[in-house]
Amino acid sequence: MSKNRKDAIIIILVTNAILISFIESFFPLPIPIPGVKLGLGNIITMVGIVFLGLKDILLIVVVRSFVVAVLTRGVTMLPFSLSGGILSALIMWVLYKKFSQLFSIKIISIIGAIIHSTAQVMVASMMLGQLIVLYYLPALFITSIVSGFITGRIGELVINEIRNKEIFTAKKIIV
Amino acid sequence: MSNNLTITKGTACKSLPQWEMDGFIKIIQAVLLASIPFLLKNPISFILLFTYLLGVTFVSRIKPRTLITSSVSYCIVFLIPFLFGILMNHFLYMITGDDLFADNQGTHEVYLRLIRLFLIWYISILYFNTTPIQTVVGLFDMILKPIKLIGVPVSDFLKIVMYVVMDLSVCGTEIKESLGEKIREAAGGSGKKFKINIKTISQIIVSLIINSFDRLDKIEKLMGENNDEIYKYSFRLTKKDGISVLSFILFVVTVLLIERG
Repeated sequence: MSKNRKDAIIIILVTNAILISFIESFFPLPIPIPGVKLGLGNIITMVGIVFLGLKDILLIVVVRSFVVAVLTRGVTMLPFSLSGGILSALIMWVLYKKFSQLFSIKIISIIGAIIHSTAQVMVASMMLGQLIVLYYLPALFITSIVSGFITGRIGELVINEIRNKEIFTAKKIIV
Repeated sequence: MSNNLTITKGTACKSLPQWEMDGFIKIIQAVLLASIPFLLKNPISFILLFTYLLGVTFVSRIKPRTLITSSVSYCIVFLIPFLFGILMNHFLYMITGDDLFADNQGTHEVYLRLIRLFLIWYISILYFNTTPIQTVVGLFDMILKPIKLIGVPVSDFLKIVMYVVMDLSVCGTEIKESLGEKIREAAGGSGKKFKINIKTISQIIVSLIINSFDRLDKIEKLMGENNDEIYKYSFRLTKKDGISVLSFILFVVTVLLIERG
């Protein structure tokens, strides 16, 4: 595959991740905890884990975090998106590539969601220099199981559909 | 495609012609402003800094809605977990009476950190909402030159970032037109219908992903073109830069006088 084609795929996937996060705002999670969301944008990370290499997945996470920070959230949010995104992507990649017989996409998604939330709270704790922030972890842990399951379920459907339609194996993409 | 570049920067970009400044001068001021809260000790200096930033916000004509939307992230990441932590500590202290949970966490130092982080966030929001994305990416390209020299593909990364922004501006409108109705339908379901919604959401996402690959050849072709103009920064000094620098110097001198008593 040529470099330009690979970059074009990355661009499309990052755009999709940001758009999916936007679409997600129409579907609030029925859990009354501030900051809890489905994290549907992570479906693209899962798609990447199944169909692309680790380097491409990390590039998707980094570009997505950078664009979102610059366009909407501000640079202070960059350490959070990067730490949560990179760490969860790495662990999900290892689980899928090495232990896929043990873990389904849904379980991998739940683990990814837990890692993501934990990493973000750890960064917040470090930036504030306060351990009391970690009290928030149990609440996030429970909601991560719910949101990770839903995201994993949707991710599974998306991945199967992509497999059926041979999006990543069709000649039109891999030249 | 590039004609749509400013769409994603939102309404704040529309104010640029009234207060267009050089991106480099602005970023230096932003970095200095973000560093100032770490040097201040006098509360009056903080009040002055807040007033100065409010003035900048007013002059930049940033819509309050933009600031409120962006502030949600700050509240979610810092404020809510911190306040929840204080509440839990207080609760545990009341139940156990253990000094371990004594409310010694809400010290002056922590609140100062919260204020400093808020100011850094606010200044970054001010900067990014008043600077065209081409300039921001162009500046990054210039600032990260030393890293480029050791072989890090910074330009490739920034090119991808720029194309993502352009792709977003095109797709955002297309999605509203093509999937808007489907999204509204799926979002209209109650809690009980959440299971049905999952299927609808996955259908929306699948069609989004599949349709997006129709643009693959077009984007690949664009990537192949020698498009050096995709992002650029060129130094350009205007009267507004002069006024801005002067007001900043005046602010710094005033703060210094206050800090020295």
